[in-house]
Amino acid sequence: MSSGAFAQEGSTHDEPVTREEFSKLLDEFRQFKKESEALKNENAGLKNELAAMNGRLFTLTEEGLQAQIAKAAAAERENLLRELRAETRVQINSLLPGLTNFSLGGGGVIAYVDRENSDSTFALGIAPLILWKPTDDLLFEAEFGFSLGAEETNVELGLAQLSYVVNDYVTIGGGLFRLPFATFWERWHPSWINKLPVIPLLYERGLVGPAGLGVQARGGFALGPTKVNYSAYYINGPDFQTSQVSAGRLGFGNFRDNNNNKGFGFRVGFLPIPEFEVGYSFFTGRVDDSGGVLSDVDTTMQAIDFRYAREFDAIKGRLDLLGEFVWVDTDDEIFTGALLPIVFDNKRRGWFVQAAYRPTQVDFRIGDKFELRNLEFVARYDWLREPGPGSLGTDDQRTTLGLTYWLKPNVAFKVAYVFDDAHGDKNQDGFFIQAAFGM
Amino acid sequence: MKHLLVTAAAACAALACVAALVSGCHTSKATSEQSTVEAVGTVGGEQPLKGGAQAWAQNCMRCHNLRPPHERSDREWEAIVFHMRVRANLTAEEHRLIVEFLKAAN
Repeated sequence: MSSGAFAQEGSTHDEPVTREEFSKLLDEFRQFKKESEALKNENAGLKNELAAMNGRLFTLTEEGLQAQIAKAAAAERENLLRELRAETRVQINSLLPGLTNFSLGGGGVIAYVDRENSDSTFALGIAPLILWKPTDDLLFEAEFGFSLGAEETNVELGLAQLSYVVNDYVTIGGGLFRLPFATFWERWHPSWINKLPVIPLLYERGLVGPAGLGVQARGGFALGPTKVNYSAYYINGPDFQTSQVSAGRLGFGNFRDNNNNKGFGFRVGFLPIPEFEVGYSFFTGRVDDSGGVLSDVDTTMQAIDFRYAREFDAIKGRLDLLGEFVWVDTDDEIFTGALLPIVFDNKRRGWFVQAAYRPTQVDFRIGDKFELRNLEFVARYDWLREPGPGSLGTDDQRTTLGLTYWLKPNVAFKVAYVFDDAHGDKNQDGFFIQAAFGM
Repeated sequence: MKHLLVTAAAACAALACVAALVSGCHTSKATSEQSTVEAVGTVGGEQPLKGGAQAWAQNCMRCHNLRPPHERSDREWEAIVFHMRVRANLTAEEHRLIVEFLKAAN
């Protein structure tokens, strides 16, 4: 039976629709109704979300403003405190007497030495260092050495120099200054820096002296990611020893030149990475006396030095490696005196390497006084060859093993044993104890 | 003289080789002193120079133990770091950074 209630869309006459058409229309109606319900629900949901967003927006805006206000207030307080601190610092400095900067430094040592073939003894020495900086570009420094001799007090002027900063790359200076030859005398000879209670053998024997009187220019500059430094100097230079015992050696204790020729030297250092420096040093000069019996004796000194110091997590501590290789060539000469006149090849060689390990990352203590991280294990090997007439030539090796306990960064208690192997001379194995401090 | 020049040239070449070898073996693992420092500027080249604390740690630690900043006054540090600039041939930038760091930290 057909229904005439619905006419097909687009029909122009009232014709009864078939059951199929009616069903189709009914389905479409139901679909429309369903979609309409869905749209109503979605609309209601959107309205709810909009209301919630409006609420949050209001909340955020208010909190944001409050947070911004609080942050600005904190920054302003911080700026005010910084300005107040700087102003206070200026006022305090202005109350200090004088306009120049003065500082007292240096260090000292108390030691006990017990070596084979010599008497054991206590020893003492102090070396105050005065620094005076009258302007931003000018520095005067002077170091004095006081030590107890056999029956007297020895006093010496270790250095007295004036330095002037010309620009970022050049500093010039004059006076008595630590010789910029290798690095020992310039940088780590002070007892509170040297990790062992003995100095390297080649310096103990005076292969190279500690200071020179003259003028110098020096500086450092970055070269890409690396760094280069240099020192060049013009000094009176050493003299020439002709006594039987010291024949052929250079003497660095003369502060008036013994000839009209000055000595020239330089050192260049290169740091490919901040922890490592390698350097080359060179010096040449005439060493014999003017108008003396010797004929124009010249000397040439060269050295290579290196230092590497770094902390490693893998070994829970700090490794410090350094070494210097020095060779001194002096013209051959005829030596007379108690010995028959003799000429020998006056070439001297010396080197040392040193390794130190400090467990800075190990947390082990005994009571309140001992911390393992303050103990440093140090070893040094020295080699020295010096020619000489007859049996005066020497060929020495030395191994030094030491323990250094750092009570403070600049106060150390050192214990070391030296295994001495001197060919052509008596061995001097020895036990050293030293308390060293830096001001 | 010729022998001297040859020796000097050989020494410089050996130094360059050692420096290249060490540079190649170096890793960029930060040490405890470096980890708390922020970069504040550059000194030519590609690698930025870290702040005053890093300049202080890298340069001073190469020779001796680090001295605490509070040990000395501002004026004393100015004189001492000038002395160290001469001894260790610090660059002008390192000098400036180290002095500023020590004065701020003492």
